[in-house]
Amino acid sequence: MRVASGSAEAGTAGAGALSFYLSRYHFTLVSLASVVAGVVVWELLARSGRFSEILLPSPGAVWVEFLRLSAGPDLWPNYFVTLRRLFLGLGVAVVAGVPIGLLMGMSLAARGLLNPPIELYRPLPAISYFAILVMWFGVGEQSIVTVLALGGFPPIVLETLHAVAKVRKERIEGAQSMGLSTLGQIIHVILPSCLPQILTGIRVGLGLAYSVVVAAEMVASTSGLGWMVYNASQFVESGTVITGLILMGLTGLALDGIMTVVQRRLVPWVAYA
Amino acid sequence: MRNEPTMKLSDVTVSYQLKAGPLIALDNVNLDVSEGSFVSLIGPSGCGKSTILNLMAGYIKPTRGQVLMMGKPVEGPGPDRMVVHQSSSALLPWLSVADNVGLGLRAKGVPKAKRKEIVRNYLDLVSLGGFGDHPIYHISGGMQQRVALARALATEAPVVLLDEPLGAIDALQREVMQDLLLDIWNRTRRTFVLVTHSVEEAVYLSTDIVVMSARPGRVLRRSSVSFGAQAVAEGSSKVKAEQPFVTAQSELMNQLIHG
Repeated sequence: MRVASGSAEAGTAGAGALSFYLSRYHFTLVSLASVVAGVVVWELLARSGRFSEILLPSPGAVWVEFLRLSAGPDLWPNYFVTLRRLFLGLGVAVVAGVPIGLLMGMSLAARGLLNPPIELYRPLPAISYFAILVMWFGVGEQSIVTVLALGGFPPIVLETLHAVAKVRKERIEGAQSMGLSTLGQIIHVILPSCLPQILTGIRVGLGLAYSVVVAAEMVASTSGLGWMVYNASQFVESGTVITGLILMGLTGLALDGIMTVVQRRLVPWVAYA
Repeated sequence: MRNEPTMKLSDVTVSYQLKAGPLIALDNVNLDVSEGSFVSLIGPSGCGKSTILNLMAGYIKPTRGQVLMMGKPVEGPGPDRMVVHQSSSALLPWLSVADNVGLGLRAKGVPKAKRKEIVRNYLDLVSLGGFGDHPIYHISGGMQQRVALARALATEAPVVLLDEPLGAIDALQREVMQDLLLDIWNRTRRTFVLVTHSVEEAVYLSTDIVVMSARPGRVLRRSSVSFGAQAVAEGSSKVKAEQPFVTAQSELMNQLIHG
């Protein structure tokens, strides 16, 4: 039967022969307790007097700092600059990656031609070729969006092209019997058949691009959440740094959660396969 | 009866070059399927019965010989020869039951209103009247197989090719589906070609049974039966319990075992 939302971890924990069963309710309770415990340990460490208040502010102090930043002119504009770069970069990666993946999946010539360059740059950490992008495009949006697009592109292309190879022969044969043209087969059979894996590729690409955007902003930018955090660290404003880190973490979590919902909505049949 | 058989295999050989040497899937097979008949292909695994179906569907081409439909060579797949694939694996889960059935009509350019009407008729025919809007992953395997059948019939294909359509269905459903197939064949008067492992199914449904041998695939013998026609006339499947049916079944079983 369908597992309740977000309980993949609970499901696996309960399924193993060696682990004991935990209900969904208790699993949530334990997870919450873990977060609370983390904050409590942080508070105790901050209060112990062993660390300077400047380097390790207490949770309460960070909360106050968050409220101050939130009301100020810096936090949210920088936050949305980062999100915009992320979605632009990932958007380019999707728009380029899906058709190229389909093409490579359907044509051996295209695959032979495009596979070497993709496989050669894929293992590079995106931040490494960011250096040359900054040389070409300068500090600013263009170099950042390009590095995100390049970083998010490989998993999308590869998932798409592997998905094409796995499309059930019977589905394509059936479509051919019904008289669907090649384009009709792509639209009605191949693309939707690949959609579950394409979404997986987008999800992985999003994760990669997200880690790259923060790093790129730290290296060469004058705006964005990454720049804000890095800049604050230069002035030892640890409240700002920690606020930024927590916001980044929660945002990453939210983005992944959104992808889970998108997958469930867009490809509901996967759960029944 | 017209002179040209609806489907004809003429001296057909299909072989594949494998690393270990050539594999002969079909060796010089001749087969006529006349209009309105219900032909079952039966034989051990590897006898090439599915290969024959794929040839007729146009999915593969013969290495030697010719595949003809109404006297014209089969060039590729087409909506005049629809296939019902094994365990409904050709259905598209992102489309509703009705959209699956209507996709072939859409490809043919049938206008929407007309399409809806045709789809409704064929869903009624396979007793899925109220299920048009359901996603196919919400209905049972047996119902999915009926959707696949309706889809094959909806394009008005004169030839319906069935690749073990009842193989993955539980025994009770299979009985129901057999009678449904017979009923539809009788009502639509299309030409049915069925690949099956089931001796009972072949004897019950067919007008013609083609027994094949494995490696290389050859036609061993061909016989005519009429139990299905009898069942349709009587409106019941009680013919299955009678002696002639039982005898025909054990004879066919013998042929399959002893060649």
